[in-house]
Order: sequence, then C-alpha cells, then structure tokens
Amino acid sequence: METRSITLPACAAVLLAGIGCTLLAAFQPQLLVLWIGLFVAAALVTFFLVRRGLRAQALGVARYVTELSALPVKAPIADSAFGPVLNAAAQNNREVQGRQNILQESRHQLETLLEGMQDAVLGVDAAGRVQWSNGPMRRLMNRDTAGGSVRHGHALVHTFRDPALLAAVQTTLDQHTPCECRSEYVLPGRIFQVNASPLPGGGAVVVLHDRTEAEEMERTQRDFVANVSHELRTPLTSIVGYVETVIDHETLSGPAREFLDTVLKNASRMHRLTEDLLLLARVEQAENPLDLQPVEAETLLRDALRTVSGSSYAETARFEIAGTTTRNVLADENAIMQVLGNLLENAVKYSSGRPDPPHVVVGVTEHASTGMVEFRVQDFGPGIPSEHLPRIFERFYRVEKARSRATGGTGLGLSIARHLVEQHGGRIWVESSLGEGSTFLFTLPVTD
Amino acid sequence: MRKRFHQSLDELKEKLLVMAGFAEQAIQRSIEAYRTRDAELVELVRRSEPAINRLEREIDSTALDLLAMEQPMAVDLRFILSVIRINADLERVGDLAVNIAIRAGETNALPPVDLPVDIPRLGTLAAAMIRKSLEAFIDGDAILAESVLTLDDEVDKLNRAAFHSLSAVIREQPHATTQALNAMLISRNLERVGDHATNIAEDVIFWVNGRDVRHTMSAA
Repeated sequence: METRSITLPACAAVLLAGIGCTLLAAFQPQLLVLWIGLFVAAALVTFFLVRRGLRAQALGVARYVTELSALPVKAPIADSAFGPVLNAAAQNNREVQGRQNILQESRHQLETLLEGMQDAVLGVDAAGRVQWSNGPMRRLMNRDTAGGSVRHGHALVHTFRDPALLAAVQTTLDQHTPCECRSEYVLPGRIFQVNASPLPGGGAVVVLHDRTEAEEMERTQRDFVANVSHELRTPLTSIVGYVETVIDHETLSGPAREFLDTVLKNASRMHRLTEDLLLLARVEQAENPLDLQPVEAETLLRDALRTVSGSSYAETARFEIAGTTTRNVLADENAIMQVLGNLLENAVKYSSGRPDPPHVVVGVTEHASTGMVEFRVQDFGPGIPSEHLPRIFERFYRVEKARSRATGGTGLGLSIARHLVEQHGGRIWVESSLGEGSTFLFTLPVTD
Repeated sequence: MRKRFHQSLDELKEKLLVMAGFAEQAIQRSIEAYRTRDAELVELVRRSEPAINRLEREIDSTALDLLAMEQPMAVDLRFILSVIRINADLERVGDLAVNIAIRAGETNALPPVDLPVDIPRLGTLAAAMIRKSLEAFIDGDAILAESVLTLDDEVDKLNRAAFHSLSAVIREQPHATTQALNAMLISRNLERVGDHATNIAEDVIFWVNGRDVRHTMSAA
C-alpha cells in the first residue's frame, strides 16, 4: 500500500515534467538546456521515490516472513493427521543432531590428542594409502630434514621406502595383527621403533618412536662400563695376587691376617664384578658372534651339572634330572653353559638352608608346535615376590640386596643369561611362588 | 581403459620405489659396515642382491608389457622410458653396494689403519643424492632433480682427493697398501653411486620436461 502511494505520484510527476519539457522544447528551442535540467531533476525525484518504495516493500516482506516463522509450529501440526509422524521426525532430527555433536566433539578430542603426541603417527587405509598424519609426522617428513614429505592419498611407499617398515605395515594390513620393527632407513642417521596396529574397519595406524638418542646413550653407557671394567681388572689382579702372597707368610699376626682376609675377600668380589661387567659388555655389543652348532639338549644339561657339582658352593646340593630329550638344539655350547651355570648357581645359593641340603630339579622338554626345546631349573627356596619378577633380568637388580651380596652375587648373572638366550633366538622367564620356590625357564630353537 | 592404464603406471611407480628402498638400504648398510667394521652388515648387503635383481626383472617386464599393449604417447611414454632407465640405475647401485660391502669386509679382517679419507662423508653425500633424485621422481619435480646434478661435482671432488691422499699412503706406508687400496675402491664405487643418482635425476627431467640434459648440465 505504502509503495503504491509513493510510486503513483512519482510517475505522475515524471510524466508531467516530460510533457512540460517537450512543449517548452517545441515552442522555445533556445530553452533546450532548461528542458534537459528539468527532465534530469524529475528522473532523480522518481528514482528516489521508487527506491524508497521498494525498500519499504522489501522490509514489509521480511517482517511478514519473520512473523510467520515465529508462529508456534506445534499448534497447527498437532491438529493435523500428520502430527505424530512429524513430531517423531522432529524428535529423530534432534537426536541425530545431538549424536553428530558428540561425534564432532570426540573427533576434535582425538585430533588434539594426536597432534599433542610426541611420536609421529600416520594412518593408512586397507589399500595401504596414506589417509592422515599428525603434526610431528609432517614435521619429521619434510625436505629440510631430507625426509621427503607425507604424501596423502598415495601408497605408503611414496612416503617411506624402508623395506622393514613397509613389510611390517603390510603384515598388519594382511593379517590384522599388530606388528613392530626397528627402522634405521626412514631418515639418515635416525633410528625409529615402528609399531603398526590394525584398525577395526581395515587399514592401520603407524607410530614412529624416535630411539636415536636413547640408543646412543645406551651405547655410551655400555662403552663406559666396558672401558672402566677393563681398566680396573689389571690393578685388581695385582692386589689379589699380592694379598694372597702376604697371607701365606707365616710371621703374620692374627689381626693382620684377619684384615688381609677381608681385603682379599672384597678384592675378589670386585674382580668377579669386573669380569661379569666385561662379559656383559661383550654380550650386549655382540662382539663375539655365537658359534652356533647342533648339540644335544641333554648333553648340555649334563655337562652343566657336572661343572656345577664340582664347585665349592654346590658340595652339599642334591641335583635331580626330571625329563630329558635327545633332540638337538642350535646353540653356542660355551654360551649355554654360562647360562645354565648362572641359573644353577642361583638355584643352589638362594635355596641353601631350605631344604637342607639344597634340592634343585632340572629338565628339558621339547615343544614340537613351537620348534623349541625348553630348559628349566627349579629350586625350593623362599621364592620371589611377584613385584620383582618383571625386573629380575635387569642389570644390578636385586630382590634382597643384603642377601645377594652375602652370597657373592654380582647382580649381573641373569642379565647376561637373558642376552645370551635372546641372541640364540630363545626366550627366558621365571615362575615363582612365595614359600614354594622358583623355576627359571628358557627356550632354544630345535635343529636336525 | 585410460583409467586402468594410469592405474598400471601408478603400480609400476610403486614397484620401482620398493626396489629403490632396497637399493638405498644396501648402500647405507655397506657404508655402515665400513664405519663400524661390522661383519654381519656385510652379509646382509650380500643377501639383499637377489631381491633387487628379481625386482629389476619384474619392473622391466611390466614396463615392456605396458609399452607393447598400451602404446603410450607423450608424457606417459616418457614416464615408462624413464622408469626402465631408473630401474637399471638402481640395480647398479645395488651391485655397487655389494662391492663396497665386500671391500669393507676385507678391510675389517685386517688391522685398523688411520687413512686420510672420509669414506662416511662421501657415502652420506652419495646416499643423499640417491634420496633426493628419488624424491624428485616421486613428485615429478624437475627443479629438485636439477639440484642433484650440482651435488655430483662435490662427490667427484672428494673422490679425486681420496685417490691422491691414498696413493701417498701406498707410497709411504707399504704395510697399509691393502687397506688403502680397498678404501680407494670404496671411494670409486661411491662416486659411481653419485653418477647413477645423476642419471636418475636426468631421467626425471626428461620425463617431466621432455628435455634430454644428459652430458650437458654437469659439464656446465
């Protein structure tokens, strides 16, 4: 209404102005400039009025739409036959919206978690194509670090070419099982622990954990221990040698002999410690490659028993063989004798007194399904508390510090045993019950 | 039909990259075997050669099949021709790695001698050239490929310097002749690795730009 009331007078004004100007131009050609001026003024007035009118019209439409949308929806619908259906649909819509919000929230949390991780993470689909990666992965793989780049949407080999890493991820994709490997060829000079885990809908997550600094530190520590042990060995040999000579001297007084006995005892202990440290360093650095030969499992066991039986600490011990096999294992005889020697010595020393004399049961069993032979050394001592079991193969880890030192242990025997067994491709572990004793078990691969 | 053809080209590229991974690993292991005097690494490099040779045959066969059956043109034709040439270069890199590992093994069996040559540095440079040329191949990046060509000059210079200094060792310390000769051969082999990286980079430029830059850019 308002628009029409503005538009009509405007059009009339333009029309009149046009007629007036035409007449003036017809009768007075010299007033042509005035004619043009009047016409332009009329046009401007018309434009202004029409624009104002249209704006008012648009505002009116907008107001009308707003009023319509503000109407309560339920009122007319509730009365109609479709009311329940539409209400259910609206309810469903609200639920879907709610779930979407939750999903978005958890996705956001997951993204934040991935970005905040120190490890580099990357996801591949079932076809092995890179789908996503986190910030550390993108920073790791860039051309400034000579690492190329993460190429999303392409096969993993476009990003990593290390054969070990590619094989691990492929195994995970094919068998849907987690797989891990050590990778030295992802970036020059860097070492990574790679873990590939299957995703429920196919595909895999690949995590790269940088081990370079940790391995460098471990290597430095090993070198340090090896060097120090080596340097300590020569003076200790002198001390032990001279003390032994002096002790044998007949004119020595009682207290002096007692003191020298203490010196000898501790010097001998230090000597054993340095020998064990050197052996451990050699084993850890794999300096002496194993001389693997087929050897009968039972022979290994009997030889070890023969050696240990002759030792002073096992004079009273009772050894029992429970179960043997004549199958050959692939082993370095000297290394396995060292392992069995350590286990038997521990079994005797830690069970002395309960029962008296110490009773040790040993045996070997073949496991055809795994292709391994299992060796076991069982004692009936006090047993090991369960909280110590996971750490018992660590260097210098002792369950009872005082008792261990009293028995002359260096705290390195089990660590050496673990390294030697693992170098053979076997596994070593312990089963123990408090008050009932402990059983140390290790496996070696069977051979023909 | 064309979609399947391009899928085949992608698969060919992926297979070549798998082979490249083996060749890169072999060259890095051989350098490490010399540096750490590790006999196990020498053996690992020797054992990797059959896998590289098998992949070379597979890639050649696939590439020739595509040429015969699809009769590609322009950029696709250049891509397949480049793959065939890069394939041969990578196989040679694998052979050179074995040569280096054998020489390293011989040296490790002898008493250690201080030699005036930085083999690990030369090896790192040669391995970096291979890596860079492969990155250029993956992305079809001719500019990155051109940067590889300039690196070859440095490798050549280091090899020449090694030759002169090791010749002096042989003259002045006859007891170290075997070790010096082995180091000289390792240096020469690494220089050849650099040459193969240059070839790969030139093939990438040919594929992307259709320009044959062989025997032109490195002389500049």
